[in-house]
Amino acid sequence: MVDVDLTVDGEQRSVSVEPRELLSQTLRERLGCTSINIGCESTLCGACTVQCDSKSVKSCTRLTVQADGADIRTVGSLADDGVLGELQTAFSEEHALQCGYCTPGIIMAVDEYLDANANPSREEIRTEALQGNLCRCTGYENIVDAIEVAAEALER
Amino acid sequence: MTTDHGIGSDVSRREDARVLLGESKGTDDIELSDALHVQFIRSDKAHAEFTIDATAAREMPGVVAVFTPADIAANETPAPRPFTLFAAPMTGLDYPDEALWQRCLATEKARYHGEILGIVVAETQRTARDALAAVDVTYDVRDAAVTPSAALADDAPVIHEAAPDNVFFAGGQGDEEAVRAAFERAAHTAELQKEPQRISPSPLEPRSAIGRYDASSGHLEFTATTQIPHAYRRLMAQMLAYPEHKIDVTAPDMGGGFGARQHPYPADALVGWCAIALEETVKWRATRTENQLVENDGRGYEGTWEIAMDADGDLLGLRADINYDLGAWVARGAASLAEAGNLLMTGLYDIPAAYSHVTGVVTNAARVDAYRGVSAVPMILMLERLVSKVAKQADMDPAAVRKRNFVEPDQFPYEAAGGALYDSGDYERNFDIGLDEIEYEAFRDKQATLRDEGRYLGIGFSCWTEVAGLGPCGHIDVASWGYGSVQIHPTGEVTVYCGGSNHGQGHETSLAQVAADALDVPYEDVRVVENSTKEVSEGVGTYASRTAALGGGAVTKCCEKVLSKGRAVAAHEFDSAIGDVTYSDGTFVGPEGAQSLSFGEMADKVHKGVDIPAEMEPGLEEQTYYDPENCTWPFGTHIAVVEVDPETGEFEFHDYVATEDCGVQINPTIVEGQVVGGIAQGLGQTLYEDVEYDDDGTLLSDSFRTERVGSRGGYTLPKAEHMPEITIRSTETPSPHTPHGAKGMGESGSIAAPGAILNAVEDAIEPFDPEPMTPPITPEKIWRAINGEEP
Repeated sequence: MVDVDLTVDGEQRSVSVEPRELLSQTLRERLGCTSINIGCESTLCGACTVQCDSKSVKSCTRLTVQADGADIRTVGSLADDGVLGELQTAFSEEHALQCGYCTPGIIMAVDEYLDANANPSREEIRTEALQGNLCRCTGYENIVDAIEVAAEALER
Repeated sequence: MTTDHGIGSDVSRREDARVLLGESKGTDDIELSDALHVQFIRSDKAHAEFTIDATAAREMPGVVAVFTPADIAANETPAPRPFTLFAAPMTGLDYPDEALWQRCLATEKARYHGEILGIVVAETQRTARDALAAVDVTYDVRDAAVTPSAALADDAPVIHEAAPDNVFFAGGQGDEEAVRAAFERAAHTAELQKEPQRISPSPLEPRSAIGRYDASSGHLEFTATTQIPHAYRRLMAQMLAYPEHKIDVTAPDMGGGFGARQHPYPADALVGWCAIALEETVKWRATRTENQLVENDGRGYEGTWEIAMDADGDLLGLRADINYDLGAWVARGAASLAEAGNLLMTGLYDIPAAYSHVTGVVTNAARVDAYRGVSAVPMILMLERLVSKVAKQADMDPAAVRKRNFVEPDQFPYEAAGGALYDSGDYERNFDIGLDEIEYEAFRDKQATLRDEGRYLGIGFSCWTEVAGLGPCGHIDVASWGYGSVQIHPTGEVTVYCGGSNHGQGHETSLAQVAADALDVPYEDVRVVENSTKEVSEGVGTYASRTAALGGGAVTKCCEKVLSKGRAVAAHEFDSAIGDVTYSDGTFVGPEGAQSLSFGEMADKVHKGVDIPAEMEPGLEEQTYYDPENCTWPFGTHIAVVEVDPETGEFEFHDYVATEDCGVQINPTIVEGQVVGGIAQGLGQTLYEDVEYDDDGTLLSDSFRTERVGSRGGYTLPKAEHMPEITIRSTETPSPHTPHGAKGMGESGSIAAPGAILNAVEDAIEPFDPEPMTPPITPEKIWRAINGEEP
């Protein structure tokens, strides 16, 4: 077992992990971060996306030991004491989620994307912001709407 | 109205906050550390006798048990029985006998890649996976047959001794003679062969199940990825020969179902078996590969479809001869689905004669069963392609032929030639809205002009219906009511219990709207409970677009009973006749408006049993098993406009318009979400998705992939960049028989999109006189069709 220090949604956590353990496994099983979903275990679906030192990463394909010392954020960190942030609010208002399994991962990927791309076109949202994520329920249209709405709100 | 959140309002969903805050809980989010973990030894071969040597695995630290088929047979806990069939035949189809019903594990030989051969139980999931890798399985491999045509060939391997011809069931429905006569007098006929291919529902959450067994009470509890908690309980009781009243099932938040979780799987029963045999809490979670290997596929039809039309453009007859790929065992719902498709094979058209013959074929592949749109998908797809094809052959406009043949509004209830009894519809009005939206009158000129410039635009129509709101009881030999119960708290607040399962459809919101509307109370005062036998006493589950019609219908009926009792309480209070009491804005009002009693005051009186009629029982909780008169028949029109690049076979969408009619819409935003989500799945089926086995029966599409087309292996789900922008319009033809007029709307896109897209692409490349294409239509297939090669 290896000792690893992580900051998870602002909280210092120390855990002992197997060297082969994936970040997604550690966060879910040892730290209870069940907003991280494991849809494919092969970096394709994006449901396990978290932010690691402000970069979105698919936590199913990173070893926990590689993340030692990292500042990790999950979808819950975008809310302020239970009050939804702009992106979360837009997802709800635009009906951008159905089963919700892909949603936390999409939001963490898009949150990083909007930091660097303040005013994306719908085409850019489809081909860039959502490039790494699958959704099986919504057909994406309302997700694109929500990202447009959130981008405008964040600009203001 | 007290509520501004009643039927018809676009209320934001209550379900969203817990997802967005990261607080939703699925099956895999429960029992994170304490349960024992199950992994299944699965066959690497599609058709093989096998022996298992688990010596090394049993000796590994942390391994609790390894069960081979022999160990399970010898255990004092009886091995799970085979799955029963979902329903008895509706139409006289010759159903398969018990020897062919799906087994929980292979005993003598494996018949498909991924079939369960044994069980490993360990202290952690990683240890269980390590132990699985240490199990040594030796195979004696036989030839495999992975498609109906391969399984029906003269030299095909025998997969089951009980079905030496590899046929599970066969039969015809409809008037074969009338159809033959129609084809004889037809001026025009068209024919299509093969398709639609086997595809995978692929919910994003892999399946999982937890079994808990309390030896002292004998209580067996499941938490599982299922759409049907109550029916799951009934089935587990049968399969495990265990008392139903000692079983509870909870379906927590789930990452999609789409029909693939309408029926449990061998893994579910074996998790329950392990819990009982070990007297422990055990948990299983599928990997994505495991999920793709064994979760049921959908479609899987091969066959010939034909249509007949007279010289005036009247459709005369429709005929289908289908070989239905069932996989290695007859799945629970497969035979019912084969029959159900025939009911609506004439779609929205008044076609006087229809006949279909279906042969259920066993193959060395995973089971085929329900998937969004079920058998309406192949039947509507082939019908819509044939209507366009025969119109083109007759040099008639495909829109005009459709309009000429629609069932007219005054023909309802309409008995279709395939056997369905449609409840209501106004098809031409719905179709015309789509034509206007797409500016069809100008389209053909534009198409001709652009063709002269070397640009190839095409338009595709697809008019659909489905059997939604599945009931009524008595027609099929399975419970198909809608369960509801409504509890009125002494404060006037309301808890609604419904027998479905909410896994993305937004029932916590939409059913609260129904109750708030029916009771005329604030929406905020209503809470909806579903998904568990521990909280809701009965249910049938969520599938076949049934919850809006049957769940909503049951809630409406319960609320009517509540208000009836409330009126009696108020009449007693007012010392008036019940008929003189009116109710509006949450208040009962006496004759002349002189006296009033609020809903909450009434609830408090009846709760305490104070000031109520002498013969009345206290308490206010009403229950319904709502048995509808008929299924509901939503319908609509999808129109796609595409432009094909003849140099590459690639195409792009210029427009996609869906005009939908699901009767009364409870929450239009949720309806639109269902429509667009369904279109994505229909688009996936048409352009990308294909369950691929090699000739030995090894599944190649055993994980997701993101390439659009090309390399073998992997399963392509549509991404955001693949989807067109979609315009949605609607008409509202209420169901005449559901209490609130709703019909249900879960499956339109997956039914209608394939026909719209295929017809549009074939219309675009019509100048090249292409052969019909079989989906998924890749750019290569389109290019080949353009260039006169076999597509």
